[in-house]
This record gives sequence, C-alpha cells and structure tokens, in this order.
Amino acid sequence: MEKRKITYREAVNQALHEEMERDEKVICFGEDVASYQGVFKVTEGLLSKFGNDRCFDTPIAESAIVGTAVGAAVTGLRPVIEIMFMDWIGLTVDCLVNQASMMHYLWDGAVTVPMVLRTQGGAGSSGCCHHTKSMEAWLYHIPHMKIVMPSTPYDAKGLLKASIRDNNPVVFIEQKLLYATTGEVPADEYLIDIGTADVKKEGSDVTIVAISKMVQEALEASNELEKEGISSEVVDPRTLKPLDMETIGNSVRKTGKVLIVNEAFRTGSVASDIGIQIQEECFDYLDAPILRVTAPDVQPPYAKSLENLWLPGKDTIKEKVKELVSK
Amino acid sequence: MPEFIHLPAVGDVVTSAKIKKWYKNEGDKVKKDELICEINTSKLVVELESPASGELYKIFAPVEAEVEVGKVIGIVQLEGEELSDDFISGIKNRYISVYYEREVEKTASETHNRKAVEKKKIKASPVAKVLAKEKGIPIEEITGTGPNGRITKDDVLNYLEKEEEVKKESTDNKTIIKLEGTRKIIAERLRESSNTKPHINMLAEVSMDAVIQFRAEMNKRIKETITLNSFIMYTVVKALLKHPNVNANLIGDEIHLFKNINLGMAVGRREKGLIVPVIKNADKLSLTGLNQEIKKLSELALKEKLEIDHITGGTFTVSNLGMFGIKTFNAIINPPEVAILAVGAIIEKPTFINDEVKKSNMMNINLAVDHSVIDGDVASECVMTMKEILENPSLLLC
Repeated sequence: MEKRKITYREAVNQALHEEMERDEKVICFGEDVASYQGVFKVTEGLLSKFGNDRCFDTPIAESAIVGTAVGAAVTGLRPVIEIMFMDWIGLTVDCLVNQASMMHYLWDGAVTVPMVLRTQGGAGSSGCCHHTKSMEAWLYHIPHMKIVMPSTPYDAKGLLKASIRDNNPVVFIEQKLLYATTGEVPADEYLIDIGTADVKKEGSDVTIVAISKMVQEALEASNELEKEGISSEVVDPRTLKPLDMETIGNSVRKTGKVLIVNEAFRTGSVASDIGIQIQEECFDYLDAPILRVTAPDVQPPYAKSLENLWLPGKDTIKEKVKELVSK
Repeated sequence: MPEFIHLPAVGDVVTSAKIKKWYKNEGDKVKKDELICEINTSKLVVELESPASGELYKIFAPVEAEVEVGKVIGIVQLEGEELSDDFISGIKNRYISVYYEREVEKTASETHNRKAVEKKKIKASPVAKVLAKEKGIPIEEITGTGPNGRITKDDVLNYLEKEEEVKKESTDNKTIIKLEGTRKIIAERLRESSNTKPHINMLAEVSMDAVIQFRAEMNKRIKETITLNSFIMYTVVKALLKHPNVNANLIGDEIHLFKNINLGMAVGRREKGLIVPVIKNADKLSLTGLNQEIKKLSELALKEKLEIDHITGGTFTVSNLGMFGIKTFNAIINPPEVAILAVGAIIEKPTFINDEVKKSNMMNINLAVDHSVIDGDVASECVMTMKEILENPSLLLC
C-alpha cells in the first residue's frame, strides 16, 4: 500500500475533507474554523470546498457551539465542531454531560447524537493557564461519551474518520505540539476502530502506557533506555473511552511493571484510573507498584523554564522506569 | 457425635508433630481405618487412619502445621449427621489444633494488646508470590533484592535457576540429595546431640569366651537361638538396673530417671536411614523374651512397619556394628537420652591368662555419656559392670 509522510495537522485536515466529501451530512463549525481556516490551520480548505452552509464560523460562545451541534446531531446531521483550546471545555460541560451523552439513553434509543467535538489539549508552548491544560479527566468521568486522543498522524486520521461515522458523541482531543509532527499515512482510505490500543514499541522489562503527546516522549525515553539495557514496551491506548484493557493488560502481564504517563494534573487523572484498572485485572502479575508520571497539581506556569519543570517528558519517564526496574 | 481425629501421642518427650499430607479433602467420604493423613514426627512418617466412616467434615491443621499431641486435627462427620458451624465454633477453643489456637491467640492479642509482637511480614510482589506458590517454593526461603528487600519475580526465577543448576550438576559428576524425611530428622537430632551434649567415651575390652560358651550350651538345650547380641542387650539391662543414673533422659534442665528400662537398638537400613526401635520394659523380659522382641522389632524396622510407639520413649540405646568388623567406635547419644553403648566386633586376640598367652575372643564396648549429666566415675562403673557380667555370664541370673 502506498504511504505518504504527512503532518498530524494534515492528517486531521484530510480526515475532515474526506468525510465531508463522503457524506454531505457532515458539517464543520466553531471559532475561526471557516474563513481563518482554524487557529492551527486544521480546517484549511473546508470553506472554499464545501461552502458556508457546511463550514462556518461561530461567535466566541462555547456552550452555544455545543448546543447547536447537539441539536443538529439529533435532527440528522453529523456535526464536527471545534472548541479552540480544551481549557474552555468547562463552558460546554453541561451540554455534553446533561444532553449529548444522555439523550440516547433518555429517549430510549429513539435518537442518537452523532457529533464529534474536536479540541486541543496539552502544554509545551508557553500557553499559560488558559491554553495549556489537559482536561480529559473531566469528560472521562461521564458515561456514554467516547474520548479519543491520537498521538500520530496515522492514528489521528483513521480515528477521526471513525469518530465522524460513530453514532455516539465523541470528544476528539488533539495536541498542539503534535500538529507539526510527521508520520506515514496510507494513501488509500482506512479507519481505526475506536477502543483499540496500539503497541507503539515492543519491550520486555516494563510497560509504559502513554497518552497523546506523551507517547512520543515515551518512545524517545524508551529508545534511550534501550541503550542502557532496559527494554520497555510503549502502549498507546489511543482512545480513553472505551479503554482497551486487553492490550494494556497483555503488556502488563508480560512485563509485570507499569508506568502510566499522562500530562494532565495528577489527582483524579486518567492515569490514576488506568492504574486502578490494571491493579484490578493484573494484580497477580505485578512485580512492582504501579507508577505514574503526570503534571503536578499546580497551574501550568507561563515562563518557559518553569513550564519545562512542570511538564512531564522523556527525562521524567526515564527516571521512573529506572526506579521500576531498579534492584 | 462426630469423630475427632487426634494427633496421636508419640511418646513421652515428643510434644508436637507436623502435618505432612492429607490424603482426603474436606467433604470427601472416608471409611473407618482408611488412610487419611500423614504426620512427620520424631523419626518417622506416621500414617493416620480415619477413626470412623463418614465425611471428612473439617480439617483444622493444614499441611505444614505443627500440632501439639492430643489436639484435634480434623473431624469426621458420621452418616446422617449434620454438623453446624455453631458446633464447630463451639468446640474450637477447647479442642482444636495448636495451629488454630495460635491463630486465635494471635488475633486476640493483637486486638487487646497494642504491644503485640509484630507478625513477620514477607515483602514480595504479587507475581513473585503467585510464582513461588505455583513452583512450590516457600517464599520465606527467597532473598528479596527489590526496593525495601521486596522479593521480585526475578528473585523467584533466580532461586529456581539455582535449584535447576543443582539438579543439573547431579547428572554430571555427582549426585546431590536434599535432606528430607527420615534423613532430615536424623540429621537434626544428631546435630543437636553433637552440638549440645558434651560426649565422653568409656572404652573397655571384654573377653567374650565365657558368654560364647554359655550361649552354645544354652542354644543346645532350647528351641530358639539366642543371639550374642541378645546376651549383650540383656547384659546392658542388668547393668542399667545397677546404675540407674545412666538410664535417663535430659529434658530441658531436668534429668528424668526411669524405673523401667526402654532399650533402644540402632538398626541400620542403608538408604532408608537409621532407626532406633525401642524394646519397652526390657527389664521385665527374660533373655528369651528379649531375644524375641529384638527379632520382631528388627524385622518391623527393615520392612518399614514400625509404629510411633515402637520408636519412642527410649531410655538407653545400644548400637552394635560388630557384624561389620568394626573394632570400636564413638556413638552419638540419641536425645533426649544421656548415654549410648557402642558395641564392636568380636576379634580373636592373644591375651595373658595366668601368665600364659592364650587365644581369646575379645570385644570392645564403648559407652558414650552426656558429661553434662553423668560423671566419668559413674560411666566407668557402669561400663565395668557390663564387662563383669559378660565375662561372668552366671551374673545374668542375678
């Protein structure tokens, strides 16, 4: 199969183009997604190709964007909306929690809510408190809502296309620093099943479960650790909900040691929850306590030097892996 | 009433035994006298039989549990009976095995006494615990190398690897046999004796001419054949009656002197290991009675049919290696006894009798005593009494 090297940004953009071409019910709206073509240029070319009916800008009113999307979804469209910066997801939570995620259940299956909420999380660009946070744990808590967090162009494209075709509300969380990263993507169409994790690198001594951009950090750490004789397996859940505990469990049962890496705040993080699920399913296989690498429970600083201290990455991962395999 | 399975009494000094194996599980049907359990005690692995037919309702003492003699280790529910949990809990405190009582005591003391001795907790990762259990390794034998001394999977695997190496070596140029069963018990007891009892040996040379002649005359006139060994044993009984301090047990700081003589006789069984059957009340037996008893116990020992009662309660032991041609040897006392007689071979030697050199059948008797309990003069007198009797067999009539 022919493959092309493209950026993560291009992968998301291609998925949007292809799905809007495939299905005229797919529409796209949000702040600056149309004429500005997205603050990260992810929606480039959509307005000119599909017109203002299917791609349009909205006021800076996050709750209105989501409310509109829920209404459009239950009445037959498949909206893909963008919440510019995940830090503002709080403004949409009521509509997501009390409407989007519940409606299929409340109406006894009579309606579905096939919408995708795209947003960007993650730190590393001196975005300070309002443009840096990873708030997936807030939504992770809510039943009946899928959460996708791809780490590569390949995963981003395949998973976004699958998300758009899914009849449930899907929160699709991109990472700002990943947009410029590149990876090979098939020229032909492909989909990735939501709920399938991916072993990004095989190893035998320790399992690193990493989420979103932390996958790249984990892979770098893993490569460096390999030179020191430590073999680590990097597992990317790709979707947090549903979580592929089978793949994660298989890896943990193989290595007996696990580190979970998540750049969100530590307390109540998805990392914490994955940890307890591993403990429940793999207790008898564990050879060391489950460890986490997360951001600390303090607001992300603006100063680059301080943000670097705050943000978990390759070095912290290496340190913790060594702790796990230490004698 | 259900039938209780008790840990049998195994002699005067054995106070507990270890459960080795249960042949039945809880809930299994059992028949009266059917083999139900195996215990490891003193020197023997002893098989216990079911006291009744019914169902093995409850096992109180699991494998490896150390149980005090007389305690209940299990219950057989008779047919038609329905035992309740209340019944079980009702009798627990009074009857159940030591193992169980210890658990109860521990819980009670932990609850009521903050200063309760801290239970030793073994730090091991979950997978290490599971693996050790699967491979049948006692986890406490493994040294943990993980953080805080935690036993990790690698530690278990390394332990296994070492065991494998040992096994592998045996196929090369040597065989390694792990001490277990009877061998282990022998090793433990003899080490204990050798390490804790200061042995002194009293060696005397005895002319056996008289007793050989005496025996020949006797055997011509009676149906059975009295062995020379029986004469020696009979002599020992007579000597011990004169020197009661040698017929004793040392238990803790107490010397137990016995009115009766329970005479142990060491029986070598090659790879099955040495065993010491005990002739109970040997002082009440005639020479022929003793001869018969020795024969019976030797046969039982060789056929591995000895029961607990046959090997416990000894007050003195005789070890005879004469048949191997050994001139003399220093035996190790069989604890808790305080003395042992080592008997050597009868060897023809030139001796002076009335200033003339004559051929005599000479034998060494070598009495080892626990010097912490028995002084040299007492031991000397005892061994000289034996010599006197053997050289003057008519004294056997006294």
